[in-house]
Amino acid sequence: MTDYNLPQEILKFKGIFDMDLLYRSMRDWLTRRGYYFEEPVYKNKPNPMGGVEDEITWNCWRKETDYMKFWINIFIHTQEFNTIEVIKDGKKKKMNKARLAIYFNAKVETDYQHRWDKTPFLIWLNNIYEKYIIKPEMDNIYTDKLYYYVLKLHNIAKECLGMEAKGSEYEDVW
Amino acid sequence: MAEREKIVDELRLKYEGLFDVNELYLTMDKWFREKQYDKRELKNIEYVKPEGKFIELWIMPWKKITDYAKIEIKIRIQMFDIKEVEVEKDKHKVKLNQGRIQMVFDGYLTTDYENKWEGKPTYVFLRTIFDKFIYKGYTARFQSQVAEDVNHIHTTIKSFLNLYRF
Repeated sequence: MTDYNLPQEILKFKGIFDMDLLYRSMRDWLTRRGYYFEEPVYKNKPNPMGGVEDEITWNCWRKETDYMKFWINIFIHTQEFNTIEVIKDGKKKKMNKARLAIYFNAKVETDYQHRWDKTPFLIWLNNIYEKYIIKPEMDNIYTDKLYYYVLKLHNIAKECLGMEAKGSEYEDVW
Repeated sequence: MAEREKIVDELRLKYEGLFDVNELYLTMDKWFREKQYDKRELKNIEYVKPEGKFIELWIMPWKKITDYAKIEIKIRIQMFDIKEVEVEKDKHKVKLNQGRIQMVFDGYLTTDYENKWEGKPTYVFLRTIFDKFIYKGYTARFQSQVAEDVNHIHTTIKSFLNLYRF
């Protein structure tokens, strides 16, 4: 079993946004793409500086092939989180004001069924398989595909937050 | 470990005035896509402040030139006091941003990125000989390609920002 880790993506924002929209949009994107969605951590605590502090961890995975599994792990951290009322297009709307940080980590896990780690010979064979046979596909297809998936999710978060540096010319990749 | 050589060291660009943040971002994205770079966005920070938005971006697109060498361009962008303004252009009202930008460009040539020559000290020695003497012409060509690409994106952004001056 080997993990191919991809570079971490960091998104930070301070201002007014709709947390509910952000949460739903990101979760819907993941579930629509066939990711199994787990939320092992949801911490909510009052902050002495004011507002509420939230820590949310998502572990999402999808079986890409019988041998490979895609993992997208997301950590959402909000500080000074407050609910405020704003007037948008002449209507009152509840929004949130906070400092937000989202960390995107992704990896490709191989041999997730542990079929190749039963005997020393299978481990050796798996090593050969990963180093010489499947390496080009791993570098050029699978890790690349997962990275562009993460970028798409990253872009959805930016759209929900109404950030200025958003959009992508790579939308049609994968 | 792969060897990373810095070819372009902190090429800077400063601008103050009108521009469109999103258009600037997409112009860079488009340039990298056209030049067959893979996208890598390390950081995207945006803070809304009373004096205007503060935006910080760290992008590091990369491109494999051969199985042995790849180019990485690191761009650090900081934007200060970004406000939304409405200007009249050709009798039409257009929404733009006003503020200050600072950009720093670095260009790297990374060789042996698959760490094929790192197993033994003999390999490292052979690789250095190979890079410095046998493969010298190719290495020089790769280095000039890094410099050329960094200068090209720098000029593209400069021209893009100059468009808003007139």
